[in-house]
Amino acid sequence: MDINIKLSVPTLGSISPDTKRTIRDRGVGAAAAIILCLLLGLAGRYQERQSPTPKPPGPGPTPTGEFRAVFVYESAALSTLKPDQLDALHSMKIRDYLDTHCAKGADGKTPERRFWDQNQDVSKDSAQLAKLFSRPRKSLPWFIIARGSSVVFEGPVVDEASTLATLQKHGG
Amino acid sequence: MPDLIIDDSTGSDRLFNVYVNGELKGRGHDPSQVRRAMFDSPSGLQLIPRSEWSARIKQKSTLKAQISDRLRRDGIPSLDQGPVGYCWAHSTTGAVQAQRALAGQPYVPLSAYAIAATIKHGADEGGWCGLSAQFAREKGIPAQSLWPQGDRNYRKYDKPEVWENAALHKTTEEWVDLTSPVYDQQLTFDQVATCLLVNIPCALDFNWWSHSVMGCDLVEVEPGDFGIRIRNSWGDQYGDHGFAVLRGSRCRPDSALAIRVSVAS
Repeated sequence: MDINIKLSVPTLGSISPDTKRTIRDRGVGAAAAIILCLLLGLAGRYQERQSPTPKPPGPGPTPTGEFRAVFVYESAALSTLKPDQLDALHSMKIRDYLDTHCAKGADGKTPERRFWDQNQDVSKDSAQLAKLFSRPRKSLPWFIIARGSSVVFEGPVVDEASTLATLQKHGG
Repeated sequence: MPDLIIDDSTGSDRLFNVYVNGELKGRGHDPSQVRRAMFDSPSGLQLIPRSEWSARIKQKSTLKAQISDRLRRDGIPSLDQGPVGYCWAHSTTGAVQAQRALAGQPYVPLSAYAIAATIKHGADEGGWCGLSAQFAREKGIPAQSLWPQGDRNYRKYDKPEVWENAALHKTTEEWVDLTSPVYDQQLTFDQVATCLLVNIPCALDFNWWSHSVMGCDLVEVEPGDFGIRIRNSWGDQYGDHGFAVLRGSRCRPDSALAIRVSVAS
C-alpha cells in the first residue's frame, strides 16, 4: 500500500535560523511519528484479519438426529409418588407430543417412546431404547431424551409442565 | 373357615399344593420364589388414602390420564370371548394388553383363547383370573395372528413357535396374593382402587355376575360414592366401546390381581 504524506513546513521569515532549525526538526519528528502510527495501525488491522478476536462461548450445535425418549419408574412404588409425578407419567399431552415427534420403530408406526419399570426385561425391544434404559439413574421416576445417538437430557420426572417443556426444548 | 394346609413337597418345580380339609384345591408358587419373581404380595402395596381419591380422579380425568383414555386413544378394541365361558382368560389378557399400551409397546392383539383352551383342553369351562394370570406369568400369551380368537383347537396350535411368541408377552410383575390358591387370589377394594389410580390394570372376578372383567379406572359416581370402570370382553358393541361402570356392592370383586409389568417386545 502506498503512503504518500507531503510534509509542509510553513515559511518562517521573521525568526532566527536556530529557531527555524528547531521547528523544522520538530516537524520532521512529528511527521515521522504520524507515519509510524499509520504503519502500526495498518499492521494491527492485518494482524486482526489473521486471528479474529475469539467470540464468547455459546451453546454447541443442536443435535438433530431422531428423537427418542424413555421414562423409567418403579411400578411397586407408583402409589408413593406425588400426584404431579404420576400426572407426568400418564399425561395425554405428553403422550401425544411423543407420539408426533418420536422416531418410528421397526414396525414403521410405533413411536420410539417407552414407560418402563426399572426391572423391565427390554432385551426384545428396540436396541436404541434399551441402550437409553441401561444408563445409570440418580432417582425414580427418571427420563432420558436422545437425538440420534446423543443423549441430550436425563433427569428426574417432576411434573407435567416441566417434563413437557424439556421434551419440547429437545424435540422441537 | 377351614385351615389351609400347604404342602411344598413339589417345591422343585416352584409350586406347592393347596389343600382345604384334605382335598387338593389348587397350586401356587413357593413363597420363597415369589419375591425373586417379583410377584409382590398385595400387603406391600402402599394404599392411597380415600381422602385423596376424589381429587386424584378429577385430575386424571382432566389430563385424560386414565387407562380407558389410553385404550381409546390407541384404538385398542375390546376383546370378544364369543359364546364360550372364557371370560376369566379375557380379563387377564385385556389387562396385559392395557399394560403394554401404557408402557408404549406396540399393539399386539393377544389370544385369550390360547390360555383358556390350553388349560381346559378345549372344553368350554369357567375359571378364575388367578388361573389365567398364572399361565401368563409362566408361558405368556401368544398373538392372535398365531392363535386366532374363537378357536379352541388346542392340539392344532400347540407348537413351539406359538409358545416362543407367547413368551414375548409374559407378565413379569404383579400385585397378586400367591399364598392363596388361584381361585381365591384377592385384592381388597382399596388395593384395587390404588392400583387403578396409578394406572395398573386389574383382572377382577365377580361371583354375582359369574363373570371376570378387566378393571380400568376408579370413578366417583356421586360425591363419596366410588365405582370401577371395567372393560368387558363382549366386543365393542357392549356399553361404551366395551366400557361400563360398576358401583355399590356390584363393584366389590371376589378375586382380583393387578398386572404391573410384562416383557417389553
